[in-house]
Amino acid sequence: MRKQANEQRSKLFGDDASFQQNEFRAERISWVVMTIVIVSALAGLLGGGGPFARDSKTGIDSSSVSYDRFARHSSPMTLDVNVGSGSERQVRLRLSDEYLTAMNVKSITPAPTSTALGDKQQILVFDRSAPPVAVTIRFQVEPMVFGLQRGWVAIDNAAPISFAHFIYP
Amino acid sequence: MIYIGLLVIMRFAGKRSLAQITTFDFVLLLIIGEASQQALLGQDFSVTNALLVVITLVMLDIGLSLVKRRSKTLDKLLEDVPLVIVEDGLVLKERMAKARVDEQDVLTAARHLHGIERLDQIRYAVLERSGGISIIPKQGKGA
Repeated sequence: MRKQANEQRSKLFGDDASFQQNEFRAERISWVVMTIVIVSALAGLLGGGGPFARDSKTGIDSSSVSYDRFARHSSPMTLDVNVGSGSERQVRLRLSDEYLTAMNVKSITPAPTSTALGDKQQILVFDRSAPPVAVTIRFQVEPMVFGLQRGWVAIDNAAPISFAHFIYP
Repeated sequence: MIYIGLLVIMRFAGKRSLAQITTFDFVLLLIIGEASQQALLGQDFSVTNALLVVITLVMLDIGLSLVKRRSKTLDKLLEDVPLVIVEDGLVLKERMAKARVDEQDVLTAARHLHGIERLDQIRYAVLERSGGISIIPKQGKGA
């Protein structure tokens, strides 16, 4: 009876019950996928803000770097380098050349007093008040590449602190 | 926020606003699109962000359609209700004036749908939720 009704509908209107059932199923699955995408974005797994958006790593000299785990191509993000109080008035911040090539640096706050090119690195020098206090140097950057991008930052002669972003298109 | 804002604005624009898109309506839609683009995307012009905005808007639409099925009140608030504007050939003028529809609109729909020439051949003309006019001809007076 039901089969007959379906055949009649198919003949009259081109109605295809099995095709429609598959389409409804695909529709529901796509809703679940899209919901997962939205939840991931809210969690910060697709770049932008969210509880899992940022990470930080601390070096042995108590300096640390705070960065976005996930970023998006050509979209602004911040890289914060926290420098401990220490004894030196000048901070020599070394940043990997490979990282800077992949990023469009929009601003550095505070601005460095001088810059120099080193071996696979760039050296930025910052002055701070006396007695030296802990400072945060903020880089505003825009990724110019896709995929995993690694970088490292080091203060003076301390060991480099490595970090990585995954950059979405 | 932009989705809700635009939904409210378009809802208050009335049934007829989007039923038949005129040149002015088309220009209006383009300007609304341009004006809301910045607020939706901000400084982030990545493909990921564009896809996220689209997915969020589509899911909002699907979510609202599911909620509307359960709540008649919300369905009416968001989608409006049909409005009878001609009854037994008689024009309900106050309703038509408030809905910004005139007799010519009714007769145009009547000619298109049933080849009807006069209002007295119409049993009901209904301004539908979508903004279109549907015509129910009187028995034996249809095309």
